[in-house]
Amino acid sequence: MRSSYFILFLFLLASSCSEIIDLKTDQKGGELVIFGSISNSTIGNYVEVSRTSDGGEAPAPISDAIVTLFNQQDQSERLRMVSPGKYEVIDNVLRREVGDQFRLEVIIGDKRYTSPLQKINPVVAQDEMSFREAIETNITSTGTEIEEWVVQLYTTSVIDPLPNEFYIRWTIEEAYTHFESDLPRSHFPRWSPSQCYVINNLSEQGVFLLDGTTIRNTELKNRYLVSRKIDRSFASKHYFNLIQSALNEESHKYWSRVDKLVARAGSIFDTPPSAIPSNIYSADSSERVLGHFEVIGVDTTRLLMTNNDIPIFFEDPCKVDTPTKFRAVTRVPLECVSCLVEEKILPKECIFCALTPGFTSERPSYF
Amino acid sequence: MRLISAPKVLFACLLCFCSLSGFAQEVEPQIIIGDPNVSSTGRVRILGKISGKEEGTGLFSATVAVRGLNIGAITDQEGNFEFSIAPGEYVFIGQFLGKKTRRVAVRVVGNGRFDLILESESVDLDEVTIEANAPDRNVASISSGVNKVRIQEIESLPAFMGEVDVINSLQTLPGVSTVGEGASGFNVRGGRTDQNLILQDGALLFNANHVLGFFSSFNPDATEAFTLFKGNMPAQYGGRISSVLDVRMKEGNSERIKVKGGLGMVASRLSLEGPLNEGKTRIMVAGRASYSDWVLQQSKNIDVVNSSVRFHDINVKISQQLNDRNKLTLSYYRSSDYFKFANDFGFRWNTNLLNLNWRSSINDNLVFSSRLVRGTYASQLFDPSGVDAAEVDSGMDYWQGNQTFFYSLGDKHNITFGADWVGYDALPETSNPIGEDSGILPEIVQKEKGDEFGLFINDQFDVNSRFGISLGLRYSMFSNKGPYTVFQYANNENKDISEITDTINYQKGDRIKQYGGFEPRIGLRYKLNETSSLKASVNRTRQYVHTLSNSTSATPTDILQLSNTYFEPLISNNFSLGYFKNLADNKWEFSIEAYYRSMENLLDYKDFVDLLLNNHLETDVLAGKGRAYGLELYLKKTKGKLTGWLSYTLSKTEIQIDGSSEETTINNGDWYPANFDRTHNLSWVSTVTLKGATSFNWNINYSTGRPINAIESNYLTGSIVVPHFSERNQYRIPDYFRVDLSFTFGRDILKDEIRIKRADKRYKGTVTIGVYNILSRKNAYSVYFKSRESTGSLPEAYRLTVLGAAFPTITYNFQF
Repeated sequence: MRSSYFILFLFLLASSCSEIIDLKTDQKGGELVIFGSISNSTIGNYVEVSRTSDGGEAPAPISDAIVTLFNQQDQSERLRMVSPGKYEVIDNVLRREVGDQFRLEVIIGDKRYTSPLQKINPVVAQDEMSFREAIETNITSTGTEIEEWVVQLYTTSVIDPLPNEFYIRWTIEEAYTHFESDLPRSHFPRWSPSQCYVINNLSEQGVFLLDGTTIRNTELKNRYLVSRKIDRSFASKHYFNLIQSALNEESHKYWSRVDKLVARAGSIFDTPPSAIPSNIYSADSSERVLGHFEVIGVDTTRLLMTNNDIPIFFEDPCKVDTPTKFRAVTRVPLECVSCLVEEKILPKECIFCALTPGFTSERPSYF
Repeated sequence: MRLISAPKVLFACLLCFCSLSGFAQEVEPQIIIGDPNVSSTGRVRILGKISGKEEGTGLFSATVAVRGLNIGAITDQEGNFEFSIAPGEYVFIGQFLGKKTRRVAVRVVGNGRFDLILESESVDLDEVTIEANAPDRNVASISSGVNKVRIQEIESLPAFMGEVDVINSLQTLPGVSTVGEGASGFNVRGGRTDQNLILQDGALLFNANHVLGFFSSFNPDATEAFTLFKGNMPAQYGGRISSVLDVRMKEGNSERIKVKGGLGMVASRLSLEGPLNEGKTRIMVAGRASYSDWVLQQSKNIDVVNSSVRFHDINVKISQQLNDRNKLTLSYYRSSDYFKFANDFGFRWNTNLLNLNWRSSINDNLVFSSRLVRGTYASQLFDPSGVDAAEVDSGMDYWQGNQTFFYSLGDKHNITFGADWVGYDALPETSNPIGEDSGILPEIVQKEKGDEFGLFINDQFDVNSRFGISLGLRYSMFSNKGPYTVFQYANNENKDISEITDTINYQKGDRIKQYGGFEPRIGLRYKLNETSSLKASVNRTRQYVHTLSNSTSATPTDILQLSNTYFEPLISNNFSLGYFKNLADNKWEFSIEAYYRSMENLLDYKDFVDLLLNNHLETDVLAGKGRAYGLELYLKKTKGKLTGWLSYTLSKTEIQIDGSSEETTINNGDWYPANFDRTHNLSWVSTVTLKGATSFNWNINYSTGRPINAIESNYLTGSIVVPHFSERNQYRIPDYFRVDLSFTFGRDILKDEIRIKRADKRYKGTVTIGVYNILSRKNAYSVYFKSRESTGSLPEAYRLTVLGAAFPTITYNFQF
């Protein structure tokens, strides 16, 4: 056997593989899920109520719930439904400042679900974000190795003075302006490209937690947060928002359990997974509720990047700036913008802004 | 008509054969046994040893016979024998299959020794098979559930990366399984990996694995043989409830310096053995080291390239024959492992053992063995980067003492009695930061000490030619000692850290808690005829050291926890019943055994607990009951061109944790399968001997997938999809199937003229070429779940395969 083949075989040892299988489970649904977050800022302040579905489908939202927030004086504020299953604090009846305590009550039909009182803790860390450009190697689902430029985000946090007990969770989101394609006027005389905003949560890559009872540094230097592929989203203003949430011990425990479940790789070091207990209880003790209610202090740090910060060429798939593309775009029937998508000449997001994941037409206040 | 037992018949046949053939053979000059100045009138006792010249060690199952008389003996595992005879002149005949028979004229005048060295016959190995065990041992021995394997039997079997491995080969035996490919340890008859007593020359080992379980810590060149007791555990063994793996290491030979070694793809080994001081001192030194990092360097995954796996071990054994009756053996063993995954985390673990043994014959019937062991097991988990960069150390220091007497009342009646002690000193768990950026505070979690004592007696005898019995009784006692702080809880049924009402500080040497109890060990054999028997055993075993783990399989940093105020000893009641049958003149061995085991105080963890640096483990670990039952089939062919075994196990292992509250109950208090439970387990291991050392081997394994928790639904918290898991161990990963092949050849494949020319050369080399997992089957080690890009649907199940390809291996073994 040629040595190269031999080495190839050996290398397989080092690349233990994982692939999707069909593990037949019961995929039972029907359990109530309540997730709520109340903060001292405009971020959060919503409750989602749903029920898990059979067959692995997405949870079904519950739109007829009565969701009420109570403070330590038992004053209450009813949350308004803003979309199916999502209830928000709209009226701002109750003051929400550090030290205030809240509990949640959800009534569905004749059943009542409640959480214990929790206090808004102060934000203790001063965060500062930085970035680096880097090349990352990824392997596609077909096994092809690709290299791509990314922006790696880091944070340095200063906690001074150091409280005796504190728990922090960071979430990262990005916000940028998205422009529809500027199509040739000769072929699309009535086309007016619009601009929208995209806000994406980048925390799906992991749960960033800090247990202040075990980590006792006043300065946490250059901790890696996430990587973001460099693409046309960096063509204009691109914000990265680092949202720091001051948790209590119970919420920290909940999120660290979520982290254990979502960051699993099936190795021998993994703790066997299990259902995460909730801090929301049914008046009927035999009924289990899933989810969590958290009361948090929030602070946001932003990093603004512009095209000038990215000295790297990136292709803009929405631009019609080459003769080939121009010919392709003008080959469709006159003014038929949807044909550009149907014939896969342009990505759908280039024509229909609202189809971009994370789309919002509302301009963020910091833009 | 009174039946004659099979061993007697065989032995009589052998004697007749020796006696008849002896007339035609040359008899060596006369020697005198006993002191000529002292006259004996009654029968005198002859002690001796038959050794192999090439092996340099005693030959098991050799015979010594007295020509013309039906007198003689079969040697034990160390080649020793004894018999009594009236003073007079005789011809003693020493014989062993594959060795030249020697006939020595003797004049017996009194008690004395008769040692004999047999050299190999230059016959074609095609015609002779050297037997490791008495041919009818399967049927005639009283113990059931015992597997004895000599290292030669597994040397040519296909092995991962070509490395012959004791523990991996055990997994092909009935009743033995493992959590997964490359997982540490093995499970015997429903026992967890920490419930096996692993002894290396009688010394306790806490971790017998290298490379997280891919290899065992036993260097095959330094290993003589190993015995697995999974059913009837003799009373001299204690401290673990599931099984005993007794590994006997080689002694240096008494003839000449010999070198043996092997060059493999990821590790190599070298051993040297031989006599010093005119053969009164014998020494064996063996070492092994890995160089597996080059394999990792071939990966394109940067994390794997930055990873590292390495190990080394060394065995040194010095035996000093003080006189005819006394022998002193000193051995030292060290093993060291290092594993690092990228810059994320890593493990170090090492074992040190110093083992002193004095064996003495007080008189012709009474032998004692005294052993003193000093052992250390230390492990470290490290996280080299980030704000939580730290290293966490833990381990166990221990002393072990053992005094065993062997009293023989005849060929068929042996009594073993004595006492043993293990002094445990659990090392404190310490956490220290690494680097300036680490925000980890140094932390120490105190651990207890403990003394385990055992008194034992085992009487094994044949009541008559059919009925044999092994009656054993062990009394074990454990004392948990300070310094230690014991928390007191408001509610002992549901201990919670928030409900600590008081603490009791125990000073050094203070007794905190004491446990003890009797452990009856009974084995029965009833011979139905010369080729079949029924065997039964009833055992009670106790265990005072727990290994706490909440990972999928055992890891080097699992917590060693002594029984204390809150962790009561594990107690197991083991029952087995079996039918044993030999066929075709013992060429085939067959057995079918059923077992049942009930376990008390079995520990399982609460969901999501962190066991590291936890000084209140009793709040996070629950105690319950366990039960295991199964049926084992075993068919072994011991002679002929085709040898090997086929084993099948049908089994079930379940746990029940039924506390007084929801927090102290798992799966609503119902019985649930253990995470290593495998309903079906099939192994077929075979060797076809082609010519001389040339052989073709295969190993086929099938087992049911092990239980896991799986996702039943999902929900969103913020933007994160949270999978909702089933109750514990309600689903199973896919079944496991693997086929390995290997081909071993030496000079026998050379042309005749070259082979004959090289026949006298001492240097012998063999090459083993194999393919591990030749079907390239992607067996699941575990199943985990990852969210899809679409947040609505259920996360997908991914199969993690540790070795998902065919692995060609080549190993060159040599000796001279």
